[in-house]
Amino acid sequence: MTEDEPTVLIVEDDEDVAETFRRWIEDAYETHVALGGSEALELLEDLDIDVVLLDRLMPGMSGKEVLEEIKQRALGPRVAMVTAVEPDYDIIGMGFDEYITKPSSPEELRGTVERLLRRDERDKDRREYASLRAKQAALESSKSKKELDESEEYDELTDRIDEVTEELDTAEEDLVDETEFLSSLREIEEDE
Amino acid sequence: MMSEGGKTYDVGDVLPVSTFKEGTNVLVSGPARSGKTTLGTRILAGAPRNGEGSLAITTDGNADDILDTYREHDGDGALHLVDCSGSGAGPPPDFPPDRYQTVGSPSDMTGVGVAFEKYAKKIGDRVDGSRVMYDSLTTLLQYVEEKRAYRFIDVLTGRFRAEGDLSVFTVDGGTIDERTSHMFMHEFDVEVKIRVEDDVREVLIDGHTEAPDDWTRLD
Repeated sequence: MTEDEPTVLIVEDDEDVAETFRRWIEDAYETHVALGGSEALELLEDLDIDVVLLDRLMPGMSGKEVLEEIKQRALGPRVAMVTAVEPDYDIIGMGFDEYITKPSSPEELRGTVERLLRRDERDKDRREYASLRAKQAALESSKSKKELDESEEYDELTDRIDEVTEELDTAEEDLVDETEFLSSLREIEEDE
Repeated sequence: MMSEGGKTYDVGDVLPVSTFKEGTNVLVSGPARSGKTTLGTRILAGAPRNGEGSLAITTDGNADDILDTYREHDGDGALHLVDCSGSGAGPPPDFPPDRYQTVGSPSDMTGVGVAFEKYAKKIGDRVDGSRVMYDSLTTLLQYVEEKRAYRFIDVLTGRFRAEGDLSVFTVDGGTIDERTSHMFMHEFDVEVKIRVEDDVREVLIDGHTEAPDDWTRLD
């Protein structure tokens, strides 16, 4: 994610719908629109996009094909599928992080973006947490208690672990949600 | 998160402590052939008489053994199995196929998650909580590098906690180094260590207020 404003890409062949979506969220995010799959991929290569709202049915490349390209090129944004009806298939298995049914309200659309941004943060936290625990275990097995007490590195490490643990403790409540759980697992598997 | 005085899981018939609180994640560790899977399965087998569901996820293709142990202690009516060994063995004989799922490999972590969710949907509200065994971390670590395995366990235990389940993970302490076991211990609330000396099996429990300070003989 960029340091400042998160970046959202709307991929939607219907220009009116795309504009409506843009109006709904452009106050909160740096918002880009692509009217088709290949245009979307170009933008994704050029810009640092955090969240993609991807229409499932488009002429030319379908949402699914765009998603496959995103995965193949390891572009790394979070992708929500925008669909007319609630999908009766496994969107996580297809590689999407979320879906949103249209027509949707500004609140709903923003809610989806927020959820995906938050999930991205959590996955980063979980990744960092695993690294910190590995470092901690390495230090603890190679140094004596006294050496650890005197080690500034160890001190900083445990402080950071406390911080991340606290963040993850609040994140844990989100694991009540099945989609959150499964997409977190997929993120671990796909992570390079 | 968890409410005070919530559900508890009765384990007094197996361990020298009476119950575990809902959302407890337990690590059972010990050397090879010390009976980790048997202990985990016996904990699962306490589910039917307490109106709970039970799920065994095996990476080792030992579904038959798990089922046998389970049946020694209770009818298997509440047991569900997920085989992620990739052995292609199919369900044990006489086991209902609708309570058996396969996942291609221990490294298919999303597959394991989906299998858990399918199980949870199937048993639904008919049960009062679930006991879940993951057998074993040792095998997982042969397929997946350490940090990735750690993140997997982090999310999995988090999910079990959120669901108020009781989970048991097994690990062969002899095959992973101290550093690794130290690292993984952070993800668990309770550790049950097993050792076998002169054919006597003993456990030492860490992280439980009721636990005896010393090694205790298992029946």
